[in-house]
Amino acid sequence: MTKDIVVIILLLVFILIICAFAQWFILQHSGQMLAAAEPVSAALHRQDWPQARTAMRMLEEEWDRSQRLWKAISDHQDMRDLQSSLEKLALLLEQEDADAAQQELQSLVFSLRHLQENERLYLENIF
Amino acid sequence: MAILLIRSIALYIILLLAMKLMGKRQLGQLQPFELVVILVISEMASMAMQSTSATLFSSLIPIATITLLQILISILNLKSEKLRALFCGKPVFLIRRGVLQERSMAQLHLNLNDIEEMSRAQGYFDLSAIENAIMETNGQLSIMPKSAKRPLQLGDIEADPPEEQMGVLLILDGHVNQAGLRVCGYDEQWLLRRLQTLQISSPRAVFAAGIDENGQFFCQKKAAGREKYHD
Repeated sequence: MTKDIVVIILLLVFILIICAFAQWFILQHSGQMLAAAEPVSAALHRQDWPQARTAMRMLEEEWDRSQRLWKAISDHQDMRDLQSSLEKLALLLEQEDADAAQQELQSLVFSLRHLQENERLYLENIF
Repeated sequence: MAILLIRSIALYIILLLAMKLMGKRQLGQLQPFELVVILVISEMASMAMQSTSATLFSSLIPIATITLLQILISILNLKSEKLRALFCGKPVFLIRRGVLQERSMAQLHLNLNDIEEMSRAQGYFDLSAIENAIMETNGQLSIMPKSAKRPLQLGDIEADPPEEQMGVLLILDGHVNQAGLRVCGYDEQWLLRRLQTLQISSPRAVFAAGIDENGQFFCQKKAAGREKYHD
């Protein structure tokens, strides 16, 4: 009986660890994506298109590194929005459409911040 | 669509495992709280099955957590009387020594009609025939009738009936039940010899055979024969 209780508590701790890892992963990688989005924004302000495209490639690489696990633990609709935003932004940078690219970048940053905020252990997120 | 199929299979296995781990109680024996836990788990599973936009992970974690907590509480209930009273409540007398317990009825939000209904379901159409009625923690009413009103039992007429034993099936649709043989203290050789006395060469020709509650061997051949042999 005591052994059963110990096993159940260990399994609950295991679930807790998985949840903590998932939370850490989302916070970490959304933070890295936000950091990688900053050079894109700066290059866009300067209308430096080659630099913006280079920064965009780094942002896409960051996404490619983390997307598989991210898609397994985050809401699929949020992930689709993020993916679509990244693809649109890359296209707009190719077309050198400054206003639309700026708008899309803001939308991407907002989505990433939203994902980050949703994961934080705030009372308003719990209730 | 293939995703839905795979998710459904995965969730089915998870639910099967969760229900198996939670124990084998029948629906009617569940505590109200256990019933709610099962409904919550089934709701979470059905949401994950229908919607591919939610991750399987987001259903798996709550299902696993609730299942483990439920098992933990069940074990603690077994260990501690106080915890059992806290989680499951206590049986309550609704009729004690023939007297209706108004306070208990009010506590359980039951009126006289409810008690009459539950008594009728148990075969007691007259409340005055009941000595004690207890509302069990699973919501069922247990009734102890007054001595004069209870059904006659063999002990009342000082009869001494022979002890009965549990019937065991030893062959089920051609397959020998080895565990059943061990329970009865026999082996397969004994079974084959019994079949040979009935001119049956193999257990595969038998639909059902076993030992009945009186300790007698019985045997029924498969479809074509339909003969039933008995000791």
